[in-house]
Amino acid sequence: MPENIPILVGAVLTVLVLLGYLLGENNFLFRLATYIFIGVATGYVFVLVFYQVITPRLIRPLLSGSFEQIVLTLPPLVLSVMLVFKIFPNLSRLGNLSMAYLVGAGAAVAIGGAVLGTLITQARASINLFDLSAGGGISRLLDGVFILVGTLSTLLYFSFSAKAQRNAAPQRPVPVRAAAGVGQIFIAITLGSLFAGVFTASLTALIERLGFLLNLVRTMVF
Amino acid sequence: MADILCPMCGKPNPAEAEICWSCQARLKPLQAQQPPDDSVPDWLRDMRAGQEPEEDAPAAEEAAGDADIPDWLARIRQRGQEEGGEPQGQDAESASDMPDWMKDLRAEGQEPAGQSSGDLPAWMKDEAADSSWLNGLREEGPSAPAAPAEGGAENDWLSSLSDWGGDAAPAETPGEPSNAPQAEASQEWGSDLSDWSAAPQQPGQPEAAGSEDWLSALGGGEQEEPPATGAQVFSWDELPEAGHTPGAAMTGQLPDWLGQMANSEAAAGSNPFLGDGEETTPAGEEQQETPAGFGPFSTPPFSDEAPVPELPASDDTPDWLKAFAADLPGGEEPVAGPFPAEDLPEPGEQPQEQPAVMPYENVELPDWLDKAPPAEEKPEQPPALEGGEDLAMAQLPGWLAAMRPVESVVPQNALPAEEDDRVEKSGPLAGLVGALPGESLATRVSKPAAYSARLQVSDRQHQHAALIEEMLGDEARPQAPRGERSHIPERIVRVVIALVLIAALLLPLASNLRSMPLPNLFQPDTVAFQRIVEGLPASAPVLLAVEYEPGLSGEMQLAAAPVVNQLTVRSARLALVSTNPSGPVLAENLLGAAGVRESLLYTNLGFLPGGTAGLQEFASRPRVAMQYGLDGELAWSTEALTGVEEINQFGAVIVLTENAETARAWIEQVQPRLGDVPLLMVVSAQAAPMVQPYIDSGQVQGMVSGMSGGAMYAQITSQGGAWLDYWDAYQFGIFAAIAFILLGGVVQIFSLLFRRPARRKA
Repeated sequence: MPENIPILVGAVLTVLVLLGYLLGENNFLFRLATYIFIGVATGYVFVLVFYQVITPRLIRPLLSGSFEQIVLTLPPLVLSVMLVFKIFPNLSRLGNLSMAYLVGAGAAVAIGGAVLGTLITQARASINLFDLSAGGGISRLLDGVFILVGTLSTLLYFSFSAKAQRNAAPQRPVPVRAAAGVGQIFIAITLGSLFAGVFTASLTALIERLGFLLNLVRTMVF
Repeated sequence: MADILCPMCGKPNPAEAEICWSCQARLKPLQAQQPPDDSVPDWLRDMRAGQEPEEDAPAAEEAAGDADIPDWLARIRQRGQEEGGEPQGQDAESASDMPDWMKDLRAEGQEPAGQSSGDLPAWMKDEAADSSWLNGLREEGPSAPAAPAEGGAENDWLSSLSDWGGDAAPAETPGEPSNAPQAEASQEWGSDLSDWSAAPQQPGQPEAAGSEDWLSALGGGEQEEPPATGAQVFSWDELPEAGHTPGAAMTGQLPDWLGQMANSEAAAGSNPFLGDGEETTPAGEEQQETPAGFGPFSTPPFSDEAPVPELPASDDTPDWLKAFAADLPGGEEPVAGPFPAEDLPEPGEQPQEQPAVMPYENVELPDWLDKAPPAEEKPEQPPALEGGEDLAMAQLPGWLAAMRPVESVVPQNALPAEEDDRVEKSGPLAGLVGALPGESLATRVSKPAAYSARLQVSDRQHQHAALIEEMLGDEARPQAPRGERSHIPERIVRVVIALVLIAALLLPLASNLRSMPLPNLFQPDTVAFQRIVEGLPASAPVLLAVEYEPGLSGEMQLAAAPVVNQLTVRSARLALVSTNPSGPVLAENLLGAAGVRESLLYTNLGFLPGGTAGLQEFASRPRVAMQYGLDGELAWSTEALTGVEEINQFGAVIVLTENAETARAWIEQVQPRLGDVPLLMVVSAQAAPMVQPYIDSGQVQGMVSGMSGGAMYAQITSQGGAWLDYWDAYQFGIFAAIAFILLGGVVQIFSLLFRRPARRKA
């Protein structure tokens, strides 16, 4: 019986979420299920962070670590303590240094990764499609052209600069407008694919929950 | 002679000194030494002249003391005293001046009470005589001792007359000067006369048999009303014929005997109320000689309780008066006559004011006081306010005006000339000339300059203001609330779609028909994924990053289960890590759902904090970044991670995520450090389109996306599992979604075709 308790809890929450969302996002059942999930997740995250982050990375080095570990632990400790002051409006300035460190380090890591891992690699990949020596033939070249047109047209679609005209509304040049139209098609296809992916993912999650409830019912009934 | 004290410094000076030896102040005023000034007006000269013969005044008044009282009036007074039971003081000196009938009448009366004038010094007698007429006016009660002066003051007869006419005889207070003005009393003798004539007409008193018609006319022949009690003040206007002087009015109605007496007295120019031998002072002189400060006074009101005076009998008394006296309560003999011929005023002559005598006027003053200038002893008093409109305004003489210190200091042109002539007509300063012109100054204040409060606004500014006002008015104007669209149809549609979709999903799940064909076309990414896993060496360490959220764990487990099963087949050693706090638990759940937890060698590194920075740290130094496992033990010393020092020592890195951003973070931060280690992605269907470019770029070597990708992977690897139970439902759901999308599109097209044109706003 104790093994079935998580199953029953999951079943109840699933029913609450499903029925509650059908009646609306702001109804009591849906909010109740949301609060339960948030509360459970918060408690779980606190315990996880305490045992996974604070204890092995802060407490343990300070208590049983070497001098080098202790010294290396002091800067993050000080920054962490200063970050706590952000919750107090009068003392929030003390946490600015910690926030500056976090934002600076995060931005540097994200920008570096985006440039090196996305921009350059994606640009190079698009360029490589036109490398006839790489093989692939015409189809590869068409893929490259298709990707190029789609990329340029999508970028031109978001170009809203136009030349001012007398006695007329400002309009973009005709080539730009034509390319923007093509880019609008690519954007529509992309959004359609994203929507399909989102719908498919949600549908799969719904199917899994309905199968879970159906299996629970079968288990309890039969 | 005594020394003179200096009025300035108080030092004594000889009597003959004119200048103080100490302060050089003048001891004797220069005014006394000034020669007669021609600029002195006549009235001032007369006033000075009237003050000179003051030494003779007591003698004259003494002589006129008893003679002023007419006989008939004395009898009336005596009778009043007898009936009131009050002794009336009579001094022997005044009694000697009485007529015979008066003496007889007095002899029948009581002994006089009070002090006799014979016991007083000469100046006191005069004072008593002078003040008797005032004492008569101050009689306050029957019990008060009366000390009338028989000296002949003409007002005694008025007092007696008032006593006779009133019920309560006012007591006389000897020696008490009267504050009542004398002039008014002189003018009201006619009032007393009217009252006297009204007295016989009281009810209960028989009318005199011998009364003449004129008395009837005076009485009005009306006996129905008793005499009024209390104060009775008469004026000339109440006499029978208005506009006539009382003398003229009465002369025509007087009886013969009275008319003869009046005519004889008028020819002699004497006061009709004076005794024989007395001369009447001209009216003008008497008014001028009236001392200042003694204004007109009113006769005290007659009292109904005053005793009726006893009229003495006399041979000269007419018959009608005798009969009247016989009818009186205590009278023995009729009174000879109410109006002696000498007491009647002349026809057409106004009653004259008797000269008032200042109290202590005849007292012998010390020498130094006698030599004082008369002007200082009796300063001028403002004229009487009552009736002051008829009096001529006093004007200062030139020599007196020159002595005014104000004019010597203040320039003549300080104030306009017209303000100097202004006479105050009201208030305590009424009658004064040249008073402070407060009212004039108030009216002289000019009106403040009127500044226009209107703004100087141009037409353009007016237009702008109107525009702003219009805009504000539109904002403030309440607008009709728009009809809120009902949410009921939307909810109904949503519930219907949900119910239809749930029914479409439950039907294949419950029936377990598996009617839908399994996927036979496989995506290249999925195939590449399978080949990479298939190509892993046995017991190769594989880093499995569980980065999905619990909400999509159902999808992710369906997509990742075939991969985990194949890894188990390949006896891979798994290292579980997650940058998501819920990742470690979901990773355990994933292994449990796949049924490989016991058979698979793995180490759960747990939660990797720091996001992208943590990923970079983990990619750089995995042992430092994730030193301990989820169980708290050193992770890198476990069997699963044996021989792994760097991240590129793993056989493959598989990322399970439903978020494209998380996939991109792994690609950007970790993939560059992997080298030849393949990076594989098991992503949700919603993140697959975003990860696809990285597959094309070669950064991600394989990808399994969603349930369909898992089904493909299972098909490739010939695996079964839960996905087979859900495949039909998945396909039904996809078809249902397509049907809803198409149905919605058709409804939208029809709604556009049959949409009513929008009504134009009025």
